This record gives sequence, structure tokens and C-alpha cells, in this order.
Amino acid sequence: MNNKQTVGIGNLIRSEAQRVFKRGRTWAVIAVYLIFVPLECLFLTMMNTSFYDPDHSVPLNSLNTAPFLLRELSILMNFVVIPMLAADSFNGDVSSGALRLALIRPVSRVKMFLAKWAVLGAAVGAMTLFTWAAGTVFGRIFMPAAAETTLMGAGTVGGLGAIGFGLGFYGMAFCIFLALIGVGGIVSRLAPNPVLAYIGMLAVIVGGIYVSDGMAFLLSVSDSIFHFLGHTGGSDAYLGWILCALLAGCVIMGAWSWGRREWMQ
Amino acid sequence: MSLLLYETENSGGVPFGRLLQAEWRRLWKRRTVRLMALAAPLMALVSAKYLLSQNGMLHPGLPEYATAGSMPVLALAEMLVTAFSGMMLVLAGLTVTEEYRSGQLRMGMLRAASLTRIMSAKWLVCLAFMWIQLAAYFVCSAVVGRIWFPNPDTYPLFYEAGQAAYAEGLLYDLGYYALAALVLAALLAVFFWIAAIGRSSTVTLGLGIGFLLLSYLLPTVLTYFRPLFETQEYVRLYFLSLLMVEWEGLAAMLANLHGLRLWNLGVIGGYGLLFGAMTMWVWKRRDSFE
Amino acid sequence: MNTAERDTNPRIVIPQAEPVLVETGNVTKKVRRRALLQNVSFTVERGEICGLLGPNGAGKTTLIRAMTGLIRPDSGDIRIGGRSVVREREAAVLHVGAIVESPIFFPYMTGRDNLDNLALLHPNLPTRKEREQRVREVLEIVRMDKRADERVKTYSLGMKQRLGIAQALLGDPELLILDEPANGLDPMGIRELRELILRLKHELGKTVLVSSHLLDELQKICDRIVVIREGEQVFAGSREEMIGRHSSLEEAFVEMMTS
Repeated sequence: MNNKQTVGIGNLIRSEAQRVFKRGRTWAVIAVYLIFVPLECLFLTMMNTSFYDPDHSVPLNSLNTAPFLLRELSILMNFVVIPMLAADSFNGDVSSGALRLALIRPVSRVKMFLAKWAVLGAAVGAMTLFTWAAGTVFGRIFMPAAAETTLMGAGTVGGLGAIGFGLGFYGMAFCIFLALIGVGGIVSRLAPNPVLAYIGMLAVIVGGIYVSDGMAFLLSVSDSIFHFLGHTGGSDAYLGWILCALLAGCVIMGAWSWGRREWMQ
Repeated sequence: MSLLLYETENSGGVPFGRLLQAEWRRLWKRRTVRLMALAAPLMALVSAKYLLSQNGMLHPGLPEYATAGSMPVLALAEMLVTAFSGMMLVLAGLTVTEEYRSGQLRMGMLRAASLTRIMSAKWLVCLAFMWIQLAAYFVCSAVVGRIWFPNPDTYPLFYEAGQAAYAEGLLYDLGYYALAALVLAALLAVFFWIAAIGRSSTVTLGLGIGFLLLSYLLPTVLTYFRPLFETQEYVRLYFLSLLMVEWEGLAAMLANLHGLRLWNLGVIGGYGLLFGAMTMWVWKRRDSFE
Repeated sequence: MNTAERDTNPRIVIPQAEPVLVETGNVTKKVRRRALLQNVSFTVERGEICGLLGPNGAGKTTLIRAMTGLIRPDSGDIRIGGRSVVREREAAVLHVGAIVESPIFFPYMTGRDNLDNLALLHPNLPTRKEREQRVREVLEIVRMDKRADERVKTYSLGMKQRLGIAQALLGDPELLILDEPANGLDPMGIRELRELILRLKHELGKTVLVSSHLLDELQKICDRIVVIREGEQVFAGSREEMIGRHSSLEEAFVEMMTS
């Protein structure tokens, strides 16, 4: 018999991943998202134009298309994919009582919270990466060929520069998605059932703009990232710092509240 | 034979009024619902704050400039598509999907009421709750408007429907709220259908939000193809979306812009009938198979 | 109590031979000023079956939640194998397996998937081979091996209870805490459950704490009995002490509840 007294974070993540990916609706929502990726591509070919924000339009070409996929897809991500996954994972299992089976075992609840975050982050990360790859490949094949292009914040760049910009852009987007998952963890802790956890997350996304323009990035993901990367000033100039603060806040509050929570469900 | 007779005699089951009463109590017992009931004053304050900041950027001669008379309408236009939709999704998710999927409804069914009748009662009760919310919101925003917003002798109505003094304006507001009440009924029918087919409450919410997003996205895409259509065709296609009817269509109806009054009423009725019938069909099937 | 058979069993992992395995001292828990538990103090020795008795709403499940570390007592302590559940939960529950309230599983997974999933959370099952082996063992112990590959949502309540015991056995615990395991079982099921609990005690040397309101059942299997009423402990002692001058446990219980 092994004398090790604690469960590694690896096994915790594997166990959480099994629970998430054996749920039929996880795959259903991922499938819906993946269907919308080519639809978005089709939309962009028809338009041949997209927007940095409502006031600045851009003609699309083979190099600059990738980031603009996210203009519409991030809404699907923030309003449907992430709230559903987070409400199910952070709240659904708890309020149904099934998570009790895991909670009575000799594992740290703080680690359990972090494992949930990590698994959802990995799923959303894979979808983000897929969107970037699809956008890059699609742009090269179907959009008007260009040897170089001008991107907000990056100036005039060639093929490699455009890929770099795309990666940076999607990296920022991924950080925003991660932060929203964290917000889901906190909201789920306060909501008595998954319905309210879901609506609570939407309330944070929409209500954020009433609180401060600096919180608008949960609603207008791509516009905010363009403003941030383009150094256009305004409320999105501090996006990096706001994101760091939000992520840190969610880690601390989530870990703290999961560690000392009472499980009456 | 006697058993059969008993069943046919009893097929009416519990009187519908009693069912309504029971559902209303069940709804009101929820803490979530009681909390939501407090939302109206809060939403009115949030809207007031937003509209005051907007006023700073607008010319007082514009219909978008909020005055004591127009405040209830302007405040609703924004909240109808967000907060009111959200509340209805919560109601549908909690009272339909959650209760049905967790088996709580068996308790109701043992008391000889069919799912179809239970669901009709639930829809009416939820609608009643939303209408009360709407009325409360009207009162709150009218009061807030009177206190914090300017009250000129007359102000312009939307879509050049003329100038209105405060009293006329309130009548206009009432008409607007009456139309909003109709849209809420249709949208609640859509959400009840989604809640009936949703396998879990999170799926119901995801689908409901998806419906709203599509209702926003499709008309937006349509705007890119604006040159392809005659104005009449274009606005009619545009207001096929229930969300757009909520957002911009109600004022257009009151001004009877491009004959939209009848068209939009038709759209609202169409959604209500279509989704109401589809919901009934789902529960009828479950009544006979489960 | 016979602790000798324990010593011959190679499965036991806790080295010390202290006779007392569970010790609760003055456990008090209040929620919104209402006392759910008040000064509950009792001990359970190794190899015993202890019955937790009380009417519905007496605080049995609250006590079990506290013993498994799901909630923290406001005051008092619970020690299992010498470790405090309040201060070092992970170490204390290392040798505890439990069903808390009704056994609710992840309904979209099969019985075996559920067990595989939970086995990942036991430090004493580090490799996949060990986990699969252990899952097969516990399924055999509760005689669920035949239906293990069906989804849990197709199971009857009795099967869920048995799967519940299987998951409690996963980490090869010394102490099993079973909350109303007879709920939803038919008479045959109850009899099988009784035989299973006795087998766990005699063949595997487990200590069992079982809550129930089925007095007959407890009378048949328990060595020790704890009775709580409205959160207060009204009795803790051996079965014989409790029955005392009465003709049965039921009579003794009724007197305790009405006095």
C-alpha cells in the first residue's frame, strides 16, 4: 500500500475532466460553437469588411482576417459557452448533491476549485486556439491576397508579423475568457442554483458597463483588445492590469471561499 | 368499465382556477422570485442614471432626450431586452425545466392534472408575475422621471408621431407598455417551449440566450443588405425578429410607421401561436407517453 | 468488543491499536441561532457497529456532515483515528468512507465510471491498475458487477444504495459512515444490506456507523447505540444498556422520545 497521503493535482484534474467531458451537453455546446466558426468565416467572405470598433471599419485581406472572427464569436463564447460550462461545473454538481461524493474524500477543496477552473480553461483554450487556426488558414485561402497589411497597434506587418499579432490577440482573448470562468466560479458560489449562476454571470457581463467603462471588455471582447493593443487610450488602456487584477481576485476569492465553505447541499 | 367511466368523468381533474392558485403560491414561495420582485425600483434607478448621462450628450429637441414624460418609455426600451428577458428565462428555467427534470412535477401529476394543464397554468402565472413587474416598473420610472428629469411643455414623440404634453405623453407611455405586455407574452411562450425541450436548466438558459442573440444578429446582418430591398419589405423583414420588435418596433407601432402597427402585431401573435402550439404539442405527447 | 479479528486482517492501514476509533467531544452546530447539534459526545471503538438513532430531523445527517468534514462544528471536536476532522480534515477522512444523505451520483456516467472517477481522489490508489482492480473489488463486494456498465440514471434506489456503499469502500477505509442506507430498499434488500454490513465487520474488520430509523434493523446488528433528539444526545452506550429493562429497542426508544 502506498504511503502517500495527498492526491496530486494531476489526478484531481483528470477526475474533473472526466466529469465535464462525460456530460453530453458539454460536447453539444462545443459542437454548436464549432459550427458557428465556419459560418462566421462565410459571413466575413460576404462582407469583406469588419470593424475594430463601431467607428472604424477595415477591409479584410489574407493576413488580417484571423482576429476579426472573434468579433461575433466572442459573444457566443461569453453569453452561451462559458456561462453554461461554468454554471454546470461550479454550481450544477454542487446543488445536485453529486459533488458531495468528491468532497468527502481526502482532497483539498481549494485544489478542487482550481482543477475545475483549469479543466474549463483548457476546453475554452482549445476552442480559442481552434478559432485562431481556422481564421488564419481561412484568411490565407479565401481572402484577397496581400503581402503586407496594417494592423491597429502593430503598424504595417508581413505574413509572420500578422501571425504574431493574431496569436497575441487570441492570447488576450483567452485571458478574458479565463477571467470570465473565474467570475463564474465566484458567482456560482453565491447562487443557489445553476439558473441563477448563469443569469448572474450575464448580469456581471452586462452590469459591468454600468459600473465602469473599464469593465466593458467582457461585453465587447474584440473591440477592447484592439483598443488595448492599438494603444488608443481611453478606458481599455488598462485592460492588461484590469485583467490581472480580476484574475487574481477570482483566484483568491474562489480559493478562499471554497476552502472555508460549508456544504449543506 | 367502471374504472374507465371514472377516468372519463375525472378527466377534467382539478378545476383550472385551483391549479392557477397552487402554481402562483409555488412561484411566490421561491426566494429567487421574491428577490426579483424587488427589481423594478432598482432597474428604474439604474436606467435613470444611464439616461441622465445620455441627456448630457443629446440635444433637448430630440425624442431620445429623456423628459419626465418620455422617461418610462426610454427606460423600458433598454430593460425590456435585457432584464425582463433575463427574468423570464429564470422563471422558465426554474419552474419548467428544473421542476420537470428533477421529478418534482410528479407530485402535481398525482393530483390528476395533466402536464398540459399544469404548463398552461405555469405560463399564465409567470406572465402575471411579469405583467405586475411591468406595471411596477412603469410606476417607478414615472415617479423617477417626474423627480429627476426636466418636464417641458411639450416634447417630440418617436418617429415624428407629433408633440406631446406630459399628460398625453403618459397616455402614449401606457400604450407602449400595453404593447410591451403583449411582446412579453409571446417571448414567454418562446421560452416555455425552450424550457420544455431543454434537458437541463443550463441548456434551457443557453438556448434562450441563443435565441435572443440570433434575434439580434440576423436583423443586424440584414442591415448590410439594405440596398437590395424596398423600404417596406426591409422593415417588415427586420421586424420579423421579436427582439427588434421589443427594442425599436413598439415605438414604430405607435407611430404606425410604414404600416408596421398591424405587421408587428401579426409577428407578436405569430410567435405566440407558433411557440404556444409547439409547447402544447410537447406536453401533450409527454402526457400520453409517460 | 472483539478486536482480535482486526489484528489478523492485512488490509488495516492505521498502525496503532488504540481501541477508540471515533471520538466526538461536545459537538455543537447552530444555523441561524437554531441548534442543529448540541454537545454531542460519544466514542466508537474499532470493529464495532454503532447505530445512530433518532426521529427525522433530529440531526443525524448534520452530525454525519460534520463527521465527514462537509460542515464545521461551531464548537467541539471530532477525532477519527486520532486526527481532528475540524483541524486536519484531509488526514482525518483518509480512512473514512461515507454515504451522506441519499447517494447522488453523476447521472450521465455509468456506475463503473462513477467509481473510476472517484477512485482518482484516493491517495492510496495511485496507479490506473490499482484503481481498476479496486473498483472491481468493491463492485463485487456489493454484488453490482453485472449492472456496473449501465448509466446511473437507469438504476433503482436500491442499486444506488449499493453503489453508494461501493464508493464508500473505495479507499479501503477503516470507518464506514452510512446515512440511512436502508432507505428505498425492499425487505429482501434490507436483509441483504444487513448481511453486507455484518460481512464488512466480520470479514474485512470495518468499523461502521450507521444511521437509521429502522429500530429492528439496528437491534439486529449494532453493538453500540447513540440516540439524538432535536440535536441533543439522549443516550450513548451499548445495545444491552439501552434495552435495559425494556423488552425491545423500540420500547426503549419510544420511552426516550416521549420522556
